Amino acid sequence: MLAQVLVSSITAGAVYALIALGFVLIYKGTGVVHFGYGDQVTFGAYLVLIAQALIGLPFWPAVVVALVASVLLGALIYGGLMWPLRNASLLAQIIASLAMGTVLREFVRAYMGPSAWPFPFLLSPAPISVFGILVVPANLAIVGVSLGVLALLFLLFERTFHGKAIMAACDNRIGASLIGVQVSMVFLAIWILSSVLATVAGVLVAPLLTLSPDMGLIGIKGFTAAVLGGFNSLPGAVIGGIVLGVLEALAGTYVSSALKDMISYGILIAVVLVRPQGLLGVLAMKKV
Amino acid sequence: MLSVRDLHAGYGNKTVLRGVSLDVPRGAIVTVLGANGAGKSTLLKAIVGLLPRAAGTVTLDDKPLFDGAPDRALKAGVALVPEQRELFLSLSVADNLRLGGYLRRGAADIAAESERLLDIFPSLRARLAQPARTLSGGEQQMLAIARALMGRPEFLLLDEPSLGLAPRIVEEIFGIVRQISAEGTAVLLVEQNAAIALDVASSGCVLDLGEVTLRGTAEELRNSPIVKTSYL
Repeated sequence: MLAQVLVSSITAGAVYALIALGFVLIYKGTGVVHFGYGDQVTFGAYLVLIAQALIGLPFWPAVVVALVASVLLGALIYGGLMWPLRNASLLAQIIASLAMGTVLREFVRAYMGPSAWPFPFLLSPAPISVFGILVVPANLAIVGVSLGVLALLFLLFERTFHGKAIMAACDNRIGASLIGVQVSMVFLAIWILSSVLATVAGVLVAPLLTLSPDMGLIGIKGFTAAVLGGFNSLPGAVIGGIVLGVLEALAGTYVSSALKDMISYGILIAVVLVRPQGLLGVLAMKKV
Repeated sequence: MLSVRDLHAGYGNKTVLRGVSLDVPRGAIVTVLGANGAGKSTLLKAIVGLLPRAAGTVTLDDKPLFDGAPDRALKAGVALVPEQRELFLSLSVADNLRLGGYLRRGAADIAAESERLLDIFPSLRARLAQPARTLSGGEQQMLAIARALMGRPEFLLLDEPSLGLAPRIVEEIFGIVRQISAEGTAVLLVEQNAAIALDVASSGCVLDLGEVTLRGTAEELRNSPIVKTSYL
C-alpha cells in the first residue's frame, strides 16, 4: 500500500518540481517572485488547445506550436514588461507579474470559456501491474518527460558556457557584466526558459487536473515546493517538488483526501515559520 | 596606450570626476593615489563603462573605447578588478576562473590558460572545487585578478587590491602585479597604500576631489612633499 502511494505520488511531485524550477530560476536571476506563473502554466496548456482549434493541428504538432509560442511569450514578457520595469521597485515588478498572470487567465476564460476542457494523456491512462504495484503509463510519461527536462537543464547549467553564464549572472550581476556577459540577454533567456518550462508543466498536468482557467492554482503548489527547497537552489526546487508530492499523497491516503490541499498549504506556513531557509538550507551549510 | 581625456562622471546628479586626464602606456604600471572619496573607483568604473561618462573620452591607441557595458571594453582589451571583487560566490573557484574566459569561450586554449594562471596563483589550485565564498580575503582577491586575466586583457585596472589584506598577502599580490606587467599587460593601479603602489609603479598621479592635483614619475611622487605628508 505504502509502495503504491509513493509510486503514484512521484507523478505530482515531478510536475511540482518543474513549476518550482521556473519560480526559482526567475527569482534567482531577476529577484522577481512571479505570482502569475501558475496562470502561465495554464496558458501553456491552452496554447495546445488553441493551436488545435484554430489551426486544426493534431495533438503533437500543436504541442510543438505551443512550445514555440511560449518562447515568444517569454520574450514578450521580458521585452514588453520586465525590461521597461528594470529600474522600477521590486514590488512593482512583482505586481506586474501578478497582473500579467491575471490577464492570461481572464483571456482564456473569455476566449475559451470558463468550463473545463478534456486534455489528452501522453500515454494510456489504463493502469498496468508491475510486481504487484499498479503503474499508469500516462503517469510514467509525466515522470519521464520531467526527468528529461531536468536532465537537459542540468546539462545546460553545468556543462555549457552559456548555462554557466546564466548561473553567474544569477549569482552576481556586476561580476557577470565584468566578464563580458550581457545581463539583459541572460534575463531574456531566463524568461524564455521559464515560459517553456511552464508550458511543459501545463501540458503534463492538464490531463490530471482537467484544464480550466483556474488550473493556475497549481502554481501555489510549485511555489510551496520552491519554498521547501529554499527558493534559491535549483536542486532544492526539485527535491522540494518530490517531497511535497509524497507528503500530499501520504496525507491524502492516511489522513483524508479532502484535506490534501489544506495540508500542503499548512506545510507552506510551517516551513516559513520554522525553516525559512528551506530543507536544503541545512545541506548547503554542511557542505561549507 | 590607454588615454583618458577630460573625463567627467558621477552618480546621478553628484559629479565625482571633474576633468581627469591620464595615460597608461602599454606594459607599464601606472598608479592613481588619493584619499577615500577622491574618485579613484569612479575613474576605473567610468573607463570600462560600468558607470556612464558625463563628458570626456577614453581611447585605446587613438580608437575610442565606447561608453556602455563593460563587455565592449573587455573586447577591446581592458579589464577591471573592482574593489568589491564581484566574484561568483556560490560557484566553484574553477567555474569562476573558467567564466573569466567567457568572451573567448570558442578558443581551444581556455583550459591551458587557466592552468597557466594557476601556476601564477598556486594557492588557488587546492581550492578549485570549493565555492568561492569559502576562500580567504587574499585568495578572493587573487581569484578576482586571475578571473580578469582569463580574458587576456592588455590593460588591467586594479581597484585597491591591498584593501583589508595582511601585509604578507599584499606582498604576494604586488609580486604578481609586477609579473603580470613583465609579461606585457599594462596595469592601472588605484591604491590608498601609496608606499607599496609607488614601489611597483613607474609613474602616477594624485587624485583629490575628482581632479588630478599632481602627476609625475614614481620617484618624483615619492619625493613630493604633498605625497610625503598626506599619503606616505
